[in-house]
Amino acid sequence: MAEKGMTAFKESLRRRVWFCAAGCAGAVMLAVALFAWVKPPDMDEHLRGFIQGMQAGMLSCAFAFFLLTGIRCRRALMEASRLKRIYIAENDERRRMIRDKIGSVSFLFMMIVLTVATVIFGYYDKTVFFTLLGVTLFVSMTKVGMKLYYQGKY
Amino acid sequence: MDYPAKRALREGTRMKTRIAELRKQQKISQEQLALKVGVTRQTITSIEVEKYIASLPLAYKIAHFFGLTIEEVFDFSEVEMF
Repeated sequence: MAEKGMTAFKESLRRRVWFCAAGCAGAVMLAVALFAWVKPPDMDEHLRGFIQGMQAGMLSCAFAFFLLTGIRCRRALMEASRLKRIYIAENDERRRMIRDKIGSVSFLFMMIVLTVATVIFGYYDKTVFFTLLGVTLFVSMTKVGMKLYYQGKY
Repeated sequence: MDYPAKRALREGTRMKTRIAELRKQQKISQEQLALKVGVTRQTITSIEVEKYIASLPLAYKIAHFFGLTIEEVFDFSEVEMF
């Protein structure tokens, strides 16, 4: 394994740990802001319950994602064999090709932005909330579908 | 740009290899080979079942691992020549 590539990868993992910590903190802060400080909007009780449930679910998923990714990166930094496995998994040429084909990075960025927007708009407009929710679900399903397709193909 | 390897993948061209046979001879698992050449086990599986064509550096690493040349591991007889 190229020493230079591994050093750069370790640095990238360190940055990811910080990014995940910031993501966890952001999810908690957004949850506190939405559920403790902001007054719930005036709407039907069932609808409000549904929207708040969705918001709580999405924030919990985001928190769990950042927490687990952060832990995975931290553990990899402390254990050489784990680091090698993650390095190989991320630099595997077939996986890279599949990632490139489905545009994984842009999908991830879109998912983060859509999730945050969906959570926030739940407090302002139910039509926008449901539209964003639909788009978020569609985007995630598309990504999963494409990934499964290409993994089967190659 | 239309690279031959890309075109081969798109058109479903397959490339036979002796990887499975060589692994069995040397009693090496896919996982062990994958770790040695720096790819995942799934990639080795895909190459063995001719779903995926290895890049030149990977083909070189695999051949080098078995102490053979690329031509001795990968079968180029069905590759179109222009």
